[in-house]
Amino acid sequence: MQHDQSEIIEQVATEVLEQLAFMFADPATPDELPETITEAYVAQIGIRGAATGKLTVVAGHEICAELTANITGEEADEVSIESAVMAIGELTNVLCGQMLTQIAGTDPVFDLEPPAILDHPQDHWGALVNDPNAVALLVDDCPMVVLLELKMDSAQAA
Amino acid sequence: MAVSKCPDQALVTYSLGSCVGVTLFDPEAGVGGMIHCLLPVSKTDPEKAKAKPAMFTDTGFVALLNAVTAEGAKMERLVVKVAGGGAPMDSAGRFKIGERNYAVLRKLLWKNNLLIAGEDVGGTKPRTMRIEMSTGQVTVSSCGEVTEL
Amino acid sequence: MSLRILIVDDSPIIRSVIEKNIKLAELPVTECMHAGNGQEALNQLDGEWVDLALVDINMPVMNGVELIEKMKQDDLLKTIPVIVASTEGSQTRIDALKELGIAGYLRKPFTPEQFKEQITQVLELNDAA
Repeated sequence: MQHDQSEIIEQVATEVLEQLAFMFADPATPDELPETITEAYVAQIGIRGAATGKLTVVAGHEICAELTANITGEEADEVSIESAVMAIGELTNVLCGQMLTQIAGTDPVFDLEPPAILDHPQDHWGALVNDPNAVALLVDDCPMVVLLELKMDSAQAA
Repeated sequence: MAVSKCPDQALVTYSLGSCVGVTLFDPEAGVGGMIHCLLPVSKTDPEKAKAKPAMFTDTGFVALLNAVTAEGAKMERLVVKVAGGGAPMDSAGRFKIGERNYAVLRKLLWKNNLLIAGEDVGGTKPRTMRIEMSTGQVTVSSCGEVTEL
Repeated sequence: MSLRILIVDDSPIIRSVIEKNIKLAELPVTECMHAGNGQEALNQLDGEWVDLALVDINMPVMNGVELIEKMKQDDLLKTIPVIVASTEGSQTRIDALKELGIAGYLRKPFTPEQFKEQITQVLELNDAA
């Protein structure tokens, strides 16, 4: 089940990055990821409703600048920090909605919290890279890690 | 890549598989052009991109845009049509070249405030794309079938 | 014809992306108003008329579902066509929103062509009615 979920996350992340931001993601093996990351954003969305949990996305600053520029149609060197933070939040929001449908189908109703940007990205990077359930990607050759933690509500799932 | 403003001409490109074909046409100026790009991004081979920009979607589309506007076409009047970007049977989805050609094109269209007016993309069939310079009419033929975009 | 459109989304960059999509759709829009959540939208709509509202679902303070419910309870606001632009994929919720009377639904991520088709369709239908 977990293996299937990782495949879905990888596929959804690849498709969303391509459609939302025209960026290309390839699966990464742990040895392709740096052990530490100094400049990164961590976005997290809480999930409630038919399941409870959260989706966490960590991405390096350089991806976020391009991500933002591609979403808005501006040039990467014009991107402000505020915009980059909003773009990684929006990416996480879209990923979350798409992943939940792929995993749970279109019947259950989920409530998503607005995306939060977390401090201390280095700490999150270390924890996520070593989490066996996290999905690692190389987005235009830069690392990104996605972790979906989801506990289905047994009453609603039945 | 080809650009024309002769109404008695037609521009044609053959065997669009994973490659992406794009036509631009300004109906008021009667200026149009076509490009057939093989690979998505020029950074994979900058030397080749310098010699043959049309080979890559990122450099090729910009070159086409520059060429048609240099002939008098106006950005705000350009009609964009797209074909190809597929996954031919023999490629077995290798490196997703077709999908990526299409995504790079979409990025450039978004940055340049252009919408796609007609397209026939994806799938496994090979395509031939043709634009009539007298009208800007674009057709795609594949396996004996002709479709107007 | 000149149109005023209200964009309700908590992300300013998404509001600007939607505004860019509106421009690309070549509609006779005179003004795009922005609101960061449902409550801000209601405040804007108190005394301002818009021809269309584009509404996200997941927002702080007041989410899109609550905003639409409140609009539909108001005799004047209920006549404003609403297009939901959200990452929402639950058919159960989309059906509930349709029951409430939304005019259209766009799932993120959408292309500018899909946006143009949806918004044109809704405005034409509204114009015909």
